[in-house]
Amino acid sequence: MIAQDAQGAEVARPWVEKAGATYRALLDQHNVIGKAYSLKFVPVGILVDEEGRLARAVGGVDIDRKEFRAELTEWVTKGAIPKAWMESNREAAPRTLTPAEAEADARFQLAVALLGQGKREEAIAELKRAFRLDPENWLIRKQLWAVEHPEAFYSGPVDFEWQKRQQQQEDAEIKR
Amino acid sequence: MSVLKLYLDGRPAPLTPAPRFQHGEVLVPLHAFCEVVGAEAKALDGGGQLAVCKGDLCIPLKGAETVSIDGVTYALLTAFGEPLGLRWQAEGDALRVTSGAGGQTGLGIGDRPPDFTLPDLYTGEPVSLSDYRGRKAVFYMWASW
Repeated sequence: MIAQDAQGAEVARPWVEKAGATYRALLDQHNVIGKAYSLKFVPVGILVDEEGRLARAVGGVDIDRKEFRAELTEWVTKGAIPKAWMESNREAAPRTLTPAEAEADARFQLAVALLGQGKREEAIAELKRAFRLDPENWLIRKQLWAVEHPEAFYSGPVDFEWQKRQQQQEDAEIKR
Repeated sequence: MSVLKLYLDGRPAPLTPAPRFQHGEVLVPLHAFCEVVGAEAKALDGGGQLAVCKGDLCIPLKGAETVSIDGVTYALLTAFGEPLGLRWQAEGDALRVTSGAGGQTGLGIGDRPPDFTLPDLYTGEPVSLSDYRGRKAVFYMWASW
């Protein structure tokens, strides 16, 4: 499992422990995967066979879907690619970043460094600039939310109602 | 030098003359290959430079990127393939090309995804995608937010 977390291992670990995960967990603090695969959201699955070839298009997955879990079991035990995967949308397309995306990433990396130094307010300012440059990038947007509004993320279950309201509010402001 | 059989988007697409694998590079018969991938090889600037064009996009070919063999112009696929949205692999006697036709860009079944290295969340030990060769692996990219 790859934890996308600009705030680092200490923030990501409790979630892995709560889930009781028995498999290996990696940390992607600097959005290495997002950039390499041109991904702007999670959760995403990267499924490779013994030869390092994809068994499914890189894109969104829902591990809670029992159909997906059945497909996964079928693939792992029989080695045959399930029909549903043949029809999956290809959402990841490795490509060079646009200039705006590149600047957004540079500001994101700066924010990660600032967070490491405990400079939260400055990190938030950089994440805001990054979001304005790459507004489609949910990896930036949600991490800005999580850093600026930890109460909606870390004081209990993640508050998705809060996220909906926040998104509506922000989208309205952008339009003005 | 070996002669390659062309497969385009999974289907055989025989070309005459055939593409070649020479000195570690894929050479394709320029005009025949362009036709089959929906591009056009033409001379720019009134006969000056050769280029591969698709719609408004024209990729000029440098002299060193083309060669004439038995009167047929061949070009290095690396000279124009990527900007045209092509991906390819030469394996044995096959040249497998995917064209991204029908909006099928993105990483799909059978592709080799880019390698990556990330630290273990607990030990910090670097772990790469390529470490998992020889077994199936599922990487679930996820977040607490």
